[in-house]
Parts: sequence; C-alpha cells; structure tokens
Amino acid sequence: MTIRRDRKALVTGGASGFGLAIARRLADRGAAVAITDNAEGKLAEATRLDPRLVPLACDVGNRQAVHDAVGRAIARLGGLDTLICCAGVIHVKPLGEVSEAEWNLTIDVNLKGVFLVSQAASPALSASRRGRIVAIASDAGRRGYPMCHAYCASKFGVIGLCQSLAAELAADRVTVNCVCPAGCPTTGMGKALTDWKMRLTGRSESEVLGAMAKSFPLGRYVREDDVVAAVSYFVSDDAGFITGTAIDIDGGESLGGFFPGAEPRHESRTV
Amino acid sequence: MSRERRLEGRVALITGATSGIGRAMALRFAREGARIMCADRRREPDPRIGDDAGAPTHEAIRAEGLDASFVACDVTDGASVAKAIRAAADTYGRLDIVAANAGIAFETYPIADEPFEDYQATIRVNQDGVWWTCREAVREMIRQGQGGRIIATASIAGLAGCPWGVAYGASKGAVVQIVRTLAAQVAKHGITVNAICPGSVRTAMSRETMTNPERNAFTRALHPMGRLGEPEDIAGAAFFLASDDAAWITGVALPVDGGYTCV
Repeated sequence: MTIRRDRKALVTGGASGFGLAIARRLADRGAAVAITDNAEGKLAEATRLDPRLVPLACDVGNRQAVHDAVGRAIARLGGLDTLICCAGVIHVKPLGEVSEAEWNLTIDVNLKGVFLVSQAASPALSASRRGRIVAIASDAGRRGYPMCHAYCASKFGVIGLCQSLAAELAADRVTVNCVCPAGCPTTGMGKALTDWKMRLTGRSESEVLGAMAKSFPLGRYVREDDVVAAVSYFVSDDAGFITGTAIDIDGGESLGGFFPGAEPRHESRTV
Repeated sequence: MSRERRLEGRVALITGATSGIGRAMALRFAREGARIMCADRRREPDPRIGDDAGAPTHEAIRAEGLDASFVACDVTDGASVAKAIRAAADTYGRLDIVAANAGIAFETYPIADEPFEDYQATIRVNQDGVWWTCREAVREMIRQGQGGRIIATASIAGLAGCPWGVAYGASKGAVVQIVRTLAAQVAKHGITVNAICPGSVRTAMSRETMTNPERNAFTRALHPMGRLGEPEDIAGAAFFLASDDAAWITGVALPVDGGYTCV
C-alpha cells in the first residue's frame, strides 16, 4: 500500500504485540513513529529492538498522562497525522469472580484510552488535513464471548466511538476506522489466552492451537502481519474515502455456523 | 505504474470494465502488475450516457505498455459469463482475481411508480449477474486448485436503507449475502470472497446526481466527508482486497463511502 513517507504516527500500546508490529511497519515505510506503553521496561525492550521508535511512557486511561504524551509526540515528531490505538488489556474470568477494579481497568485502557488519545490528538490530526485514526477493536467487538465481559463491552464501545469520531472529524478529512482481528496466538494477549485455554481444557498447546486454526474457515489463525496489513491499508492514500468502518480480520469466522464437522456433506457439483 | 507491482503475475477478470468503477479497477490492477481481461457488454465508453470519452479500457491499459484484453460479456447470460471466464484463463493461462462489478441503476422511483420491468432488469444484472460471475469464477478457481480472490461490487444501498430505488437496494443486499454465504462455502478451497460497498461515486451511473445541483448537494451531505467518491477510491479498496495484504479477510462487506453508513 502506498503510505506517504513523511507520516508522523503515534502508536499506543506500541511496545509489544500488534502495536509494535504496526509501529515497525510504519517506520519501514518512512514514517516517524512514537510508541506508548505504561511499562518503562517494555518500552526500553522495544526501542532496543528498534531504535527508530520514540518511546513515551503513558497510561492511556489517565487524561493528564495522555495529554503530556501526545504533546511530547508532536514535539518529537514535528507534528502528528496518524494515530493507531493498540493499547489493550483483557481479563478472562467467570462473572462472579470479576472485580470492579478489573472491570474499570479494562474499560479505562481499551475504551476510555481511545477517547482520551483521540481527543488529545485531534487538533493536530485535523490540522494535518490528512489525519488517520485506526483502532484495534476485536472479533469480541462484534459478538459476545463468555467470561470476557468488560473486554467485549470495551471493544463494542470502541467501534461505536470510532463511528462517532468518523462522523465528526470527516469535515477535517480525518478518517477513523477499526480493525477487528480474531485472537492471534503470537501476541502477549494471545499467548495468555492460549495458556488459559490449556488450563481450562487440560490440552497441550499444539492441541489448543490446532483446534483454533480449524475453527476458521480459511484454515489458519490470524497472524500479526494480517493485522499490520489492514492497518497499513487504512493509513494509505488508497483509503482516503473510507471512514467509520470496522473490518473483520478473522478468516471468515464471523460468518457464523462454521465449525469442524459443519461443512456441507455434499460437495457442490462442478462441471 | 506502481513501483511495488503488488499483483505481479496475477490474472484478473473484471466485469463492467468499460466504464466507471470497473474501468478504474482494471487500470489500477494493471498498474500493479496484473494482466487484465476486461469483460463488458460494450467495448467503447459512451460519452452520450455520461462516460468519460476515451479509448476502450484494454486499449488504455495497453497504451501504458501493460497487458489487457477485451471479451464481450453479458452477465445476465450464464453461457456468456462462462465464455468470458474461459477466455481469461485461456488467454493468460490462469485466473486469480475476478471482480463481479457489472451493475445498473434506473432513475430513482417511488415504488408506486416503479415499472416491474425495471425492477426485473435490475435484479437480472446486479444480482443474477453476480451469481453467474461467482459461479463460473469458483468453478475455474477450484479447477485450477490454487485458490483465488472474488470481489463483488455491492453498495451502501445493500447495507442501509438509502433513498434510492427499491430494486437497486434489494439487488445490492443480495450481493452482500451472496458474498457472505459463498465466503463460508469456498474458504476451504483458499478462495476469499468479499464485497465493496461504495457510496455515491462520480460515474455515469450517478449522472443525475452529477448534473442536478440540488440532488448533488443532498447526496454530498449524506456523506460526512462532504464529497462524492471517485472511481479510484473504489479501485483502491478492490486492490487491497485482491492483494496479499488481505489474505485472511473473507466474507466482509467493506463500505467505501466517506462515512455514509456510520452516521
């Protein structure tokens, strides 16, 4: 995809997982990129791996911290026209065991974080006249999964928030879109979910991942590259007329009713 | 010519390639390195109905030193579609990408005044035509055994209640469901099937919107970005869905609509 070489991008949650992969791809395409994480250690690790990235410690759920981080990003990058919201947390627990603090943290990081960062960044994005916001939502932003109450609520919320932002910022040519990946087993969050499934089912990692791959019509699970590619598309000039959308990156999982054994018994007649 | 040539070595057939969105797709895919079979009922763009004057699409592509051919194709006629698919595979030795793009729209009627013949003709081209194109494309792609990409041009009228004709909305809603169902059905063959849902785009099909100032202002206001789409906006989305970047995306209906469906 054609990404302008002079983009100035802030990637929240950019020290690991999808965020780091996206930050590095944007830097590969010539963008100046700043990343945030709330953990200094993770930021140091990310910048050791890729010294091009500007590290900014920031809790995206804290208004003042976000305001400061966005200000520093604008100063260090010389402006801001691209915001990628990747910061996210998940708790997987039965309803009765979820604490109020866990609920609050998930909503603060996953949903309020997107709001606060967008609010702080929007003057710069609007001024650029080519602003882009892309948020990582989730397949859990499209339908419910058990034991992920706050996570599902936050991701449904992110899609709604982005549609509202899209409608409001369109006049300034800022586009706002979401990507909705299915769980990716190679990110930190994905690994934690795989561990949780292993504990729950007593199965091995390869059994859990094998069953997971089979649950997708296209026969494999999501790779970080799939998500990076879709985000890159929304950032590219090709996507200048696309706003307020949420694209599923799920190998057809959300089409519904497709699980091993559910294939049609009779192969269609091919002449 | 794109520096990256991200469709190098691919062969694409595009229905409705003579004008509008199909022409933009054909030019874009060719510039990304694909060889193109342009399929359409008519070979020449027709300025009398609002097409931009110019060479037939395949000639315009060849004039850039790229590879394209033309095959006559009426998407309402299954035999004609099968022949076009065959022509693409025979001419270029393979078929990787099929854009089921041909469509028509009649002037907007209130349903009380809508002639049944117009309703039927709309369904025949927009819905039956996509079905024929998908069926023949899937047959060829399964025969080749190397997967493939099918991209159908639906519309925001297939997602939302738009203030246009009932026949058009019904036919485009059907396109979205053909795409979803087929995506689930053919995923195991490595074939992805996706729809693009354009908002109002500056083509001959929207000439009334182009030429009537009141209608133009009304339509622009429906799109939060405050402008109509360009054919190139839609071609860019089609290119993404045809590229390796979208390998794990199937069954989606992607709005390319300046925000129309998000408000």
